[in-house]
Amino acid sequence: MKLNKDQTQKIALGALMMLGVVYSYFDFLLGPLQQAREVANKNLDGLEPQIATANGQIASAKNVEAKAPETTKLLGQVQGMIPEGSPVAWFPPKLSEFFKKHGIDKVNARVISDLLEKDYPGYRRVSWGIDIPKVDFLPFSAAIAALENDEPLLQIQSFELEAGRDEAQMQRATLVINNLVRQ
Amino acid sequence: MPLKINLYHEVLLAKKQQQYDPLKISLLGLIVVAIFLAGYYFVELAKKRGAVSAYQARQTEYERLLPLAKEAKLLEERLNKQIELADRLSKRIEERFYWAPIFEQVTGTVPKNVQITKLGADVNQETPRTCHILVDGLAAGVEPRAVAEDVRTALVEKFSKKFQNVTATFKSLDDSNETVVWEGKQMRTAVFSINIAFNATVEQAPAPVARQGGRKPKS
Repeated sequence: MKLNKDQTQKIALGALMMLGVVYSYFDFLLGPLQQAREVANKNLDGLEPQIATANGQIASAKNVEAKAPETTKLLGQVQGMIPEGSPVAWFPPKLSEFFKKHGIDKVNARVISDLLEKDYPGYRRVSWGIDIPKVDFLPFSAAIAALENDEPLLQIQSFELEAGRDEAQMQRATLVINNLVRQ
Repeated sequence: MPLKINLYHEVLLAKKQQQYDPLKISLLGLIVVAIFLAGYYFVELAKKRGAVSAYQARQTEYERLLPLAKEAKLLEERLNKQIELADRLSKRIEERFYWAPIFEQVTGTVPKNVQITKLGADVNQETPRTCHILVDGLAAGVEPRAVAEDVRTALVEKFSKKFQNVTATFKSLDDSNETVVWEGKQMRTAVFSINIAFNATVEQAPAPVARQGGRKPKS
């Protein structure tokens, strides 16, 4: 079969148009489509770890939350041990009352230092100098044992017991006590 | 041989040319290719829509989770601080140094022919926690210095049972001019001052060991 000139021209023109159409198809239709799919897949891949992290964070918080009631109870107990108001107002009378119960009448307490406790946020440490001018050793020991058992937030840092010059049976006691109080 | 003349050869040629028209064939080919390309485009479009909708679904999920995660982080931080504080408080309470047992040990160690004139002590709060005790007293006896030495060794023995690195040294030990009557006899005296130091860190109780060969649970 022999093509005439007109037919050859038509086929050549058709082939050129075909090439243009195919180029446009890949460049303007299929290309952006595949690009958009790749972007969506890439974004999805980037999102998965973030979702996993968020889920992990929520799960971790739930785990910590499960332990919280015990902690809240303990903190509540500690708060309950500390009276409201300035420690200078409540600590010396409380201490005097305590020693009076153990047969020790005269107790003087004064503040030595009042520091913020950075390890215990919300609390501060007050150091007290306690002076008991006249005390018998045995009731004093019993009172100290009771004080240590009854007041968990209190620490005796140092003490000195010195025999009295006038009465050999009586001693003078001085103590340094650290107490944890509300900020 | 008979002669055959085809009078329709021109008509037949025209028919044949029309049947195998290259333009027509090319057009048909183009239509087939166009259908294939269109189909492929729709397949790709469906894939793209699937990927975009999957991404959008996860994005929505992430947007839902993000505020929850931020809230959870704040909650966790707050609770962790509380837990840490509670741990420190309970550690402080549990690891307090108790003085009452020290009084008991000193009084239990000192014999009747020794009088304690001054007892002082302090404990530092740092780790390792060290405790210093100063015992001043008056020892009476035939050999008052030996009595004082007995007190020193007895104190070391007593404290060593409970604490580590116990040391007790005489800060001073002097004969005194004073004499005392002890069990009807005149006794010489010696004035002493003993420094005691030990590691007062509270040791944690060891974890209980799992029992070997315990009762098997009922299945």
